[in-house]
Amino acid sequence: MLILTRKLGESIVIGDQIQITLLDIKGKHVRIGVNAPKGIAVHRGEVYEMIQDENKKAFESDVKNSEMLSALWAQVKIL
Amino acid sequence: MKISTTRFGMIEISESDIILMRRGILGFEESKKYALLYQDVKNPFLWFQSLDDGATAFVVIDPFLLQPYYQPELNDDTLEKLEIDNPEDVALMVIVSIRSNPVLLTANLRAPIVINAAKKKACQVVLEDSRFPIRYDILKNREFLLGGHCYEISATAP
Repeated sequence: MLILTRKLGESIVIGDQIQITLLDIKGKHVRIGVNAPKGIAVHRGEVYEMIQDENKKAFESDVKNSEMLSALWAQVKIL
Repeated sequence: MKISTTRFGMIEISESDIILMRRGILGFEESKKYALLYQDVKNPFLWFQSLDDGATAFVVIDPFLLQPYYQPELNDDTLEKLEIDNPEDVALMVIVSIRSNPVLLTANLRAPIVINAAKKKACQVVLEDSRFPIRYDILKNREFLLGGHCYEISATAP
């Protein structure tokens, strides 16, 4: 991993379209500004981790075959 | 192609029904090829079966059956990479997580699988709008789901 030291107000440029600026530091919190083209998705890292975890939970669902899925739908209708 | 699956045994999928995912499902990046399978046309829950790994399959549902006003904004990057020229080609599926005791069904509305139904290309998109829940309670909100439904995307019977 490339590690850079930056001061408040300084930035990092990635490629020629993405600029990350260090806006503010308060205790353990750092405010970061991201300038990126509209098409580039920017997310907090933990959101991605949450989605991965949720996908794994879904993969481990208690419905293991088609019969169970049919039974589940029947159950949803009468619950 | 023929593939041996944990849930359906040996299945045959025609080439035209193979959905190619760009990065796979997050956390399951090794699987790139999938197919939508249904067991019973009246059951709105489908299987999203990996064709690279017979043991990997997810229960999915069309999010419009859960929330008629579900209209996530797709960014240009997604539209471009899935080669979506016509909005009518877009089909969405959301992954369902199921617990049986007690019964709990949640759908991940934050990270839908966006499918270009015409070109059979797909990717799981993480939406920027945090108002879309990761664990949407299907049972609590099922009035609309029970009201009737129809499919807009073709699925294969295993």
